[in-house]
Amino acid sequence: MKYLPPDVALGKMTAMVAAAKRLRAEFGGG
Amino acid sequence: MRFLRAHTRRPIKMTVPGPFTMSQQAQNDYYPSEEAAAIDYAVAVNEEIRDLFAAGADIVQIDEPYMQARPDKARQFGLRALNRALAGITGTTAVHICFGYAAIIHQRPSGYSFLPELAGCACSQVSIETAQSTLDCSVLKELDGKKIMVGCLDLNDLTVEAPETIVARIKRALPYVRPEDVILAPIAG
Repeated sequence: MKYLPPDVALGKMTAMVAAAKRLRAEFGGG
Repeated sequence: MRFLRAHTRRPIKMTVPGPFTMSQQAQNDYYPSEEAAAIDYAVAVNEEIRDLFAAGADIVQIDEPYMQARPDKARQFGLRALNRALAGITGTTAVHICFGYAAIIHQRPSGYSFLPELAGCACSQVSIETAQSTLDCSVLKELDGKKIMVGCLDLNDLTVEAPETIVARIKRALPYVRPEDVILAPIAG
């Protein structure tokens, strides 16, 4: 992650959080 | 750690280098064997982990990328060194293995050469990368009882993934890991 441009790294992390929310909605969990 | 703990109520995770990995990276001119060096590193790592929990860490992760890079030696004494580093530790701990920095190592195998063996480690969490390697996730069934940090970002690709792409990557693991045992993670570096 440290080798990525900051905006790319932030974008990927933001997408991961969005994915986590979708998975929680589908499967539950906190 | 104390500074960080004083400024947030959110969970704090800290990483430390693993004793096996350090034994593979360092030149040994003192110990009678690499294993002896690894075990002594483990004693020091154990003390560091205890200090980190005492200072307020919630999770401590031990990074052991050389277990993947040197699986034969890892089988000889890697797990023993790792578990020595974890001796008596009651806080939440994780072990991380990977294929190296994506920006440096572009070609990935489709499977780990050292992963099922981690079922025998004292960590409650195992952190792996799956995205860039398109890992065959069936190996994860060997780690029943562990929480799996599923690395789900491809750091060799400057394109930002769509959330549905990441969801699909995580779902590749779900036939082999209970959903409640899955933790999403970017991956090392």
